[in-house]
Amino acid sequence: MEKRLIQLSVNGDEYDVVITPNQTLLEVLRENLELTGVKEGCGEGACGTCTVLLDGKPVRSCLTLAVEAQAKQIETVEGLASDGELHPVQKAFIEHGAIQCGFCTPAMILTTKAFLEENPDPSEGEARRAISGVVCRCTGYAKIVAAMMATAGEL
Amino acid sequence: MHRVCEDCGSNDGYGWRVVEAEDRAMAEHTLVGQRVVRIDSLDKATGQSRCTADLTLPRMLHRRVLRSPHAHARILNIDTSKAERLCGVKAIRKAPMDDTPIMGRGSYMPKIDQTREWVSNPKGQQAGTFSFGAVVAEVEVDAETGQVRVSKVTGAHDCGFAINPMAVEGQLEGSVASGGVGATLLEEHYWDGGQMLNASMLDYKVPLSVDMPQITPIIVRNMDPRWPFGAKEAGLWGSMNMFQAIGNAIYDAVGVWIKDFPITPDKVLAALEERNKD
Repeated sequence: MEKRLIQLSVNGDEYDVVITPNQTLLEVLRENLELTGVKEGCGEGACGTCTVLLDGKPVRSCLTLAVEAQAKQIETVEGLASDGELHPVQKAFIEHGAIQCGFCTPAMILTTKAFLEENPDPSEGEARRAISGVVCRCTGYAKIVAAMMATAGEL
Repeated sequence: MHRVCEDCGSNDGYGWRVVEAEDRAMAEHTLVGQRVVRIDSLDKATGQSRCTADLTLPRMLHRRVLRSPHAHARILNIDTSKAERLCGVKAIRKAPMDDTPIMGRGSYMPKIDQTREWVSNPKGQQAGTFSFGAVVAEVEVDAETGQVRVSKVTGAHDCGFAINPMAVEGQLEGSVASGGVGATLLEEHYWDGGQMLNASMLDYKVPLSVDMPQITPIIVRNMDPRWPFGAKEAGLWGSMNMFQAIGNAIYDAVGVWIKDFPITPDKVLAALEERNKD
């Protein structure tokens, strides 16, 4: 397949990347840009661990072609902390013990950030629904929801 | 902190030793027994931690699975000669083409006398000491659809000395997801001659945040004199007890026993119909 040069804006930095048009955003982020904070779980849009933010909205990067992400702001978990200062959502996840094996954590944190920016004062049910697209196999979601509720109103 | 043990009564009983040993552990270490943030969580929250799939090491072998670009095509032959000539290719493996999956069955049982006294003769056990737990589940059963929803789980677990209570709670809550809602209500493998029919997360449903009940984990303080810091285990609480708790709660709600797991709506409906016949 013919290669193509595209521009991606990831965490505020501009990248020129040579890709084949069938490469997913997940592949390009992990393999070309070495941003391995975004994880590949199922590769078919079911588990949500590959979630990144595209113009502030959570998307599954395994179902998004890299060419579709051109001219959009891509955010990954690596870009959340600024000047050594953790994002409030990251801080809450750490403090509440919402991180166990850590595989779903980047997706959970990004989804929480996008959700709380849209809905700063959610009910617990709304918070649960917001992260229902990301599978976590070890925490039982209890501490994740607690961390979400603790951050609500802080963003 | 060690009020739990005071009811144990006599000073020379086990309860007294628990209090003493706990005091000693707490005095010798500043972090043991405290709700401390796990040291690896910072890397995990910032995307710096590496899973095996994230690693690239010098001279590391990489594997690529190539599939046919034609959906439902029957592969008769694969020509790998071009790939073999490529620089850096170490090995090529072709999947069986006659559509017969490789199957095998086996079992292993260690030579242990299962009837022996386990506490003084722990040989062959994975853990040093038994942990104990109790679980109460509240369920809602929709008698029209057979759908079961676990609304509340309360449980106590004697995990020995909780080195980090926050981490222990996480294990207890996690086992409600995997052993409880997952294994009891949702998860089942369907097989056809060695081929798993639901081998994808679209078909094999694991619990999501909305499926989970309110969980109240209770850590029962105890001290295991034989193991570091007096700790036991903290994961099997829900994995061992949730089946019975949920099964009994369903019986309490609608009066039928479902003894085949997972308890899916079709089984509940069939059991209800069977009961209503009588």
